[in-house]
Amino acid sequence: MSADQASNATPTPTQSIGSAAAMDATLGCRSIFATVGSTGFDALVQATTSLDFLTVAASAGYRRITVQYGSSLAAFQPGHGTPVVGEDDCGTTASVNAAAAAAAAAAAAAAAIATERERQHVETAVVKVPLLGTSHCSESEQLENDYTEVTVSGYAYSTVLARDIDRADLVISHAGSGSILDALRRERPLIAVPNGGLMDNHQAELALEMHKEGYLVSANCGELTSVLRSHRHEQLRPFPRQEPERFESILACAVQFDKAD
Amino acid sequence: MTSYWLLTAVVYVGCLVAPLALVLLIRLWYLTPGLSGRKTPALVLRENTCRVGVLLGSGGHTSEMLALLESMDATRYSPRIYLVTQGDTLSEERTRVWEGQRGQQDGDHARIMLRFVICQLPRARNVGQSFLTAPWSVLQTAYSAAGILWHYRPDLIVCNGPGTCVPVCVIALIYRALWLCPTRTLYVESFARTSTLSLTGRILYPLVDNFVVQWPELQKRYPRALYRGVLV
Repeated sequence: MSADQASNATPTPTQSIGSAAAMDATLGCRSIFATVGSTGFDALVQATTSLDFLTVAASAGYRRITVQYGSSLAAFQPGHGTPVVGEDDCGTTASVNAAAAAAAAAAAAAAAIATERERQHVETAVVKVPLLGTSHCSESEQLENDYTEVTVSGYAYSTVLARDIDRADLVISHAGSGSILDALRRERPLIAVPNGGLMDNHQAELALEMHKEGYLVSANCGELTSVLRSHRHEQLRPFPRQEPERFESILACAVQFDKAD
Repeated sequence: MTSYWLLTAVVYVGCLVAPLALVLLIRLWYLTPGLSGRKTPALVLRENTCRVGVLLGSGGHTSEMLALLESMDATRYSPRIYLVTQGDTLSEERTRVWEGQRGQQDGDHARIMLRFVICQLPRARNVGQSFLTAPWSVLQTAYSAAGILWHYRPDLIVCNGPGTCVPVCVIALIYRALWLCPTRTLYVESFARTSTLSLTGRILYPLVDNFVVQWPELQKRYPRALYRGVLV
């Protein structure tokens, strides 16, 4: 991959975020929420926290990444892997400048909102990534050395995933039906990653079926960066809303009420 | 003297126990849709509410179940008896959050809050557990489920997996065969199953009164299944 390839794939933003972005360099940008569900999924956690992924995400305008890593804590290493362009200053550089302070403040705010039971442990790291091509937030960032910062936070489990899904501009999830529905019911663009490590392969089946219908993008961990570059996740069809009458008609086959008042 | 007792025992077994067992077996056969091919008629309730037992599997199963509950009238399908597998605190927490929100929506907070109970159920088979030791844990689940069903006597049991719902549905069937309670069972196959049934689904297809699938291809393969599109 090269920088000009990425800039070709990334269309120049037609609308400027302007003052909002300038106001808050770290929070004003789009965010990604990655979730592995109730177990663990090392490969997905690794893929969404790798320097490679963060670099592509930053160039696509995503500056905040939240990862629900389940039991895959060991795989949660923001900014790991070989750097894409240049080696110096890459990796986890926490609290080095104002942006890092802003990120810390954001994490503190998030922790304040969450109760102690909802998030036992929120880890936040600010990762410096090389800036590829044009992005939504470039004008507000310090462009010295063509580096930008991505805030990566992670936690194990939450009972209010819905809130993180609502906040995200893109959801990357394992292909579990629950997570797929959570994202689609909240009308979020979704990239579903089937877990190849599981014995039964029906996860992949569902993801593929939904991919064919155009409701989500099904990809494996290695394809995440190419999906982000291609912007395929921005051209999805909305998933039809839930219709309570359907289940009601099924319940009527099992039980009926004598009195219809 | 010994032969006298033996004879008495044989007579008792022959005249009382055996016919009863036969009646029970015939009734079990008759009530099992997969064996008799009979479609279970809907249970007509005298009251305006339906006591519903809801089995919360874990993870994705719980998510789908909570989505299904969104389609159910909470005042009508009440009280709700939740069966949660032991150690699944996440499902329990999510259910409490869900019920809390429902209570707030309906306004009559205190009344709605009292209309549900959460019961613990031992897991029928842990992920990765050997099929050799599974029968023992299935029996434990069945024993626990028998107690809960006896206590709450639900009119309807809604479940969507995993394996823990098999002993629960079997107990409900046995209770019905014994005229103990007229519980109807409803199994909703996961939305994740597009072309094949889960193991639990394959086991329960002949046993439950209403079997529901969410993809058309499955209904073609399993004609007794109900299909009304995606429900969750």
